Amino acid sequence: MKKKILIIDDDRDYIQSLKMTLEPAGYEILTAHNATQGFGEIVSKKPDLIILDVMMETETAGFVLAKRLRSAGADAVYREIPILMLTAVGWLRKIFEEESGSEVHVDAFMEKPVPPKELLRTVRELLEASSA
Amino acid sequence: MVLGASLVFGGVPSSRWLGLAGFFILAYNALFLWASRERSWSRKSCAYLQISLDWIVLTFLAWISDGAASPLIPFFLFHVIIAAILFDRSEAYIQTAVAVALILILGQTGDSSLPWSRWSLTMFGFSVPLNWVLLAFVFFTTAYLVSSIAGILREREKELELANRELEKKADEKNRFFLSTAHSLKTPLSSLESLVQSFLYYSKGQLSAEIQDIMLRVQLRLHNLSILVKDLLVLASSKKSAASKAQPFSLETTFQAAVNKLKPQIEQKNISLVFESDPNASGVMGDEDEWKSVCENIVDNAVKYTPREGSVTVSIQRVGNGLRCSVRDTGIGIPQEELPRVFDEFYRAENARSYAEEGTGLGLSIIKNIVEKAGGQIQVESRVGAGTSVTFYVPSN
Repeated sequence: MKKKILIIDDDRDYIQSLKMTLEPAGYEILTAHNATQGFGEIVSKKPDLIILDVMMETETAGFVLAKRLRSAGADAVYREIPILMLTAVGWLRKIFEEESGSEVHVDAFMEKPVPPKELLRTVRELLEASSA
Repeated sequence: MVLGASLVFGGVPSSRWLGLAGFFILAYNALFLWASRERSWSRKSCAYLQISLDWIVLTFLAWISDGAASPLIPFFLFHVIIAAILFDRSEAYIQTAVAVALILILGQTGDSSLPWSRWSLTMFGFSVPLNWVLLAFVFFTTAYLVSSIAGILREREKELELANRELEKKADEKNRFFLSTAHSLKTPLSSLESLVQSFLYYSKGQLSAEIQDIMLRVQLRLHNLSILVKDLLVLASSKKSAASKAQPFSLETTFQAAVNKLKPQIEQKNISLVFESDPNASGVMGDEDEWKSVCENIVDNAVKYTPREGSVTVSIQRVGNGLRCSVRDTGIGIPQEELPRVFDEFYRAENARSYAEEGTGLGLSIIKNIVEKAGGQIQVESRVGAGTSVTFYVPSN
């Protein structure tokens, strides 16, 4: 069965570029354009991997969603889905962590743009680690 | 007077005693000066103590030398001037009153009184000696004039400080604008870059050589553009007056990571890379991300401007209370006359521009900002054709 990857990003061009790399590699791609919609997709479709942007409806929407998925109150099903965070503004993470006083727990954190080969390798590694 | 002197010294004071007193005065004044500079004692309280001690010593010396007619009397005026410079007006008047009172007491107790005691004024039914009036007039006028001048100067200083703060605020605002512009550029740029990368990856082998070539050029141009935006971002955030968050980190690791990142280029040009690190090179304090760009920029420059088969040496040494890092290459070098300008923003040496097309001319200005913000120093030495060495010193925790 094809692995499902959910891409949550408000930049449709960026989603397109990720799709162009991931689809030929045999992944099924689901998309969402903001964190709220993304959370709905996670609940209804239960993806195997989440690729998450940071700046969406708010500057830190991605961090907030990641925090919500990793919080102790979250369903174990969601807590185990690996998250690959992609952002053009890496330094926002430090500011968010300082201001919210908590760390962002994601499985990989990469700065955009990620070269296709590197993206594929990271996705493969994350999926292998989670199914192991 | 003779009585006073004989009480203390058993005779008229010898020059040796006066010399000793002079030495004592110099010694405690030096002590206060040192304490106010090195020991962070407040300058004002030091001045208070100094002047009070001076009053006591001066009065004593005048008492044993010639009373109110002592040659030391002008020193009282000297202290009034200093008090008027250092303190505000009312405090200066208090010190002046002390000085006048001390001289008058000296004139009453000693065997030589103030000169010109023959004339006197009658005020409110009292007969006041003219020399008292004159003395008080001269002292208080001096205090008034000096404290007025000092006041004007202080006012000016305050105005300047305000103007300076205003300027800093303006620079900060400009910087913030700059930062947000760079960000707005970075987001669409990374999308574009990603689209082109994916397109090339997706259509591997299906494109005609011509289109493939065009797309590769688009990719390269985009890449250079996003490097420029990234450099601008780092430059703007390194200029922020607010201190970035400092954490201990290892420069050795950061340099090593920078070298690893450039492995492909190093191997491609067959450059021999030497990494020398002092085992006691401890960590330094700073914003790790900022230092990452320092190390990456230095190593990147060295690799970029070194021809095939050359060598690049990274060395980290412990020097006194800090670390000295240097990156030496056997590259094209920088012409002597262009060396002073290499830290200017956007400046690239003539030979660098013809040697490598890409490059923003921001690298060294970013490095300099960050190194100096950490209290360090940086210098560049170079000879055309022989190579360049960039050395910086940074204090460690």
